[in-house]
Amino acid sequence: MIRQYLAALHWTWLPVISMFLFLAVFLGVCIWVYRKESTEIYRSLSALPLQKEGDQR
Amino acid sequence: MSKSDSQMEHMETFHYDDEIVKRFTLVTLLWGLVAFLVGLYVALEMAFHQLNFGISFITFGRLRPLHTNAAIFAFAGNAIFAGIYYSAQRVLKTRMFSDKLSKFHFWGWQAIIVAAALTLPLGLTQGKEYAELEWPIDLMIAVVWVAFGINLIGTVIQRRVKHIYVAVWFYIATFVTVAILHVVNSVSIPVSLFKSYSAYAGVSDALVQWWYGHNAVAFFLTTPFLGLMYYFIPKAVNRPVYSYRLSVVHFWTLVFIYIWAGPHHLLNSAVPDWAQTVGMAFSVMLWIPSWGGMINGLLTIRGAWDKLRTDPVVKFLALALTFYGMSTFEGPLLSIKSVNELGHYTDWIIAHVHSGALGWNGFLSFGMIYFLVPVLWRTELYSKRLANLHFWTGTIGILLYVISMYTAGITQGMMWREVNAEGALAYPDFVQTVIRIVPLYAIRALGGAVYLGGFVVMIYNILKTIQLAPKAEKQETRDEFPRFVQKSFFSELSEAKSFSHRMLEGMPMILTVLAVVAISIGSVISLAPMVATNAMVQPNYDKELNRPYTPLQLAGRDIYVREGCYTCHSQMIRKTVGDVLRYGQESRIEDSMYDHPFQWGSRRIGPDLAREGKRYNHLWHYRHMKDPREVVAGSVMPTYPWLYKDKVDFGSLQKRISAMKTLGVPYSDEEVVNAETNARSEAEAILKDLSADGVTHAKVEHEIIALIAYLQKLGQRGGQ
Repeated sequence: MIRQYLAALHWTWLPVISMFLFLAVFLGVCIWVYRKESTEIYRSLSALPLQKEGDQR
Repeated sequence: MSKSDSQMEHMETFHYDDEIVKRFTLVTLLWGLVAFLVGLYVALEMAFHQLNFGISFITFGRLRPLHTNAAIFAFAGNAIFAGIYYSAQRVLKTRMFSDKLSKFHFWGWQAIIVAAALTLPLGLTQGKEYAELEWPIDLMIAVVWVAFGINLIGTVIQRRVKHIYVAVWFYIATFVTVAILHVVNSVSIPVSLFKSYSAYAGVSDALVQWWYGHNAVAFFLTTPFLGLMYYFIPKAVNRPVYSYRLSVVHFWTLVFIYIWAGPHHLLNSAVPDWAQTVGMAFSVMLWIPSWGGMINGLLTIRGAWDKLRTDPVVKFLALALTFYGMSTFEGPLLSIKSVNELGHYTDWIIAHVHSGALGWNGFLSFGMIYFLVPVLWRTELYSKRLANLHFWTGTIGILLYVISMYTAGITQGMMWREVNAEGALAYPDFVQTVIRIVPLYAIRALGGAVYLGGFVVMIYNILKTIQLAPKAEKQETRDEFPRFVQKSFFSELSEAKSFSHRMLEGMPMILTVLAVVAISIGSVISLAPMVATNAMVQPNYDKELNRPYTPLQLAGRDIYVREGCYTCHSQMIRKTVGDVLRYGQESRIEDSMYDHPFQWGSRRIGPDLAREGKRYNHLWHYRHMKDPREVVAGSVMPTYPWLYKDKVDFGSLQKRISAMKTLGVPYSDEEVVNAETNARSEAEAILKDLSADGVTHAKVEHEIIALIAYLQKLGQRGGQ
C-alpha cells in the first residue's frame, strides 16, 4: 500500500517548494542584517581579528 | 558605567595554546608532501601505464583513493585545524577549552591518517569515493571528530567576548555538518575486521554517497576555509572585513543551499528526475553566496592592494580567493544538465576539482602558514624571495594542470558523443578517445611536478624560518581581556534591545541548532527519493533475471571494489544519446538494486561497464586482466598479475552472503548455507570453459575466476 502510494507520488512540486524556501531564508537573512541596531554590533565584531594581542601591545 | 561595562569584571590575563597550532602546522607540511607526491605518481601512472609495475599496492586504483584522502583529510584537514585553533582562540579571547582534548584530537587525527595510508594500498576499502576507509577507521574518525567538536564548542562557551565572530560560525557549521554526513554515510554492516558492506544499495547508496561527497567538499573544503579567510585576510591586510553584513548573508545562504546540491553528481542517471532538478537548481543558486563571499574577501583588500606586490601572504590569499571564485562559478555551470552531459565522467571535472583544491585550499593554506610560522616562532620569514618563487611556481603548476585537463575533458567528451552522417558513433572504440588525450596526461603530470616543486621550496623556507627562531623556553602568546559574564536566557530577554542579535550571534547553542535546522531541511529533501526508490522498481520485472549475485559473483565484486575499479570505470549508462549508442539501454534502478555499495563511479578513464556482462567471452576477460594491451591496443589500464596467484577465501562466503541477507538482499537460507559449494561449482564451470579455450594454469580458487563471474553478471538485470 505504502509502496504503491509512494510510486504514484509526483514529486515535481518539491523543486518549487525548495525555491520558495530558499527565497524566504535569503530575504529573511537580508532583513535581519540590515536592521538598524546591527551597525554598531557588526562594527565591533568586524574589528575582532584586528585587536592586538597582549605581547604585541 | 555603561550597561556593557557592568557586565564585565576585571581584566584577566591568559595564554593561547600555540603549541597545538605549531603541531598542526608542521604536519600540514608533512602530509601535504605525501599527498602531492602520491598525486604526482598516479598522474604519471596515467601517462605511463608501465609505472603500475604489476604491483598491487601501487596500482592506480588503490593509490588514487590514498591521494584524495591524503589531500583532503591529511593536508587540508590539518591546515584547517591549525587555522581554527589559532583564530578561534583569538577571536573568542580565550585559551582552548581543554589542552588534553587538543592533544587527543591531534594524535587521533594523525593515527587515522596513518591507518588510511596503510589500509588503502592494501585494498581495504568500502569502495565509496572520499569515504573509502573501513569501519574501524570510520569509528576512530567519529570519536576524534567529536573530541574536536567538544573542544571547539567548549571554547566558544568559555569565551570572553559577547558576540561570536563570523569565522567561528563557519567552524561550528563545519563540525556539526561533517559529523552528520560522516555518521549517515558510514552506516555499514561489518563482515570482518576490515570488510564491510554499505547499508544502502544502488540508487539509495548513490544519493547518500553524493549527499556526503558533495558536502564533504562543502563543509570540509569550503566552510572551514571561508572561516579562515574571514580571519586571515583582515589580519594580513590589517583591515576589517569589507562587509560584515554580507558575511552573515554569505554564511546562512551557503549553509542552507549547499546541502541540497548533492544530486548534481547524478545528472542523467537512474535517480528520479525531480531530484536531479532540485540538485541542479540549488547548485545554480550557489552562485549567489559563493560570489558574495569571494567579493567580500577581495574587497577587504581594498586600500591595501600595494601589499599584493610586497607581501607573499596577501598574494597567496588573494589568488586563493580568485580560484574560489573560478571554482564556484564553474561548479554550478557544470551542474546544468546539458553542460554536465558533456563534462561528466571526463577530465573537465578533474580540472574543476583541482583548481579548487590546488588553488583555493592549497593557496589559502600556504598563505596562512606563511603568516602563522613567523608569528608563532617569533621571527621573520627566512626568505620572501623563496615565498615569491613558490607563489609563481605554484601558479604556473596549476595553470599547466587545469589547462591540460580542460582540453582533455572537452576533447574526450566531444569524441564520446560525436556521430557520423549515418548516425553511428564516430569513435566507437573507447580506447580511441583515450589515446588522443594521453599526451595531455603527461602535461598534467608536469604541472603537478611544478606545483610540488614550489611546495618543496616552501618547506625549505619554513624550516629555515624555524631555525632562525630564538631558542627560548616554551613560548605562549599572552593576552588580556575583561571577563564577559554570561547572563541567563531570561535575564537577557528582560533587558537589552539587541537581544535578538545576542540570541543569534552570541548564543552558540541557538546558532548551532539553527545551522542544524538549515542543513537538515536540504538533507531530508535531498534524501527523500530513498524512501521512494524501492517503490520505483518495476513490479513486474523478471524475478529470475534479477536474481542477486551468486556467491562467486559477490566474491568477484569484492575484488572489483578492492582494486578500486570504480576510479576508472563507471557503471551508469546515462539517459543521453552518446551513452545509449555506445553502451546500450540506459541504466535502471533494477540494475544496481542489490549493489552494496553502488559502483556508479565518477570518471571514465576506461569504458562504462554497466552492461559489460556477456559482451565478451571468459577468455577475453582472462587475457584482458593479465595484459590489457593484448586485447585492446593502446589501453592505459594496469596489469593485474596477482589475480592469477591469489586465492578467493571461499570459507568466508557464507558470512558475506549472510551479511547481504541481513541488508535485505533476497537470499534463501539454503543459499546462505551452500554459499561455498555453489561458488566452487560455478568457478569450475568457468574454468572448464577457459580450459576448452586453451588456458592451462588457472585454478578454481584464483581470484580472476571470481572476477570474471562478476563481470559477466553486469547488466544482466533490468533492461538490455
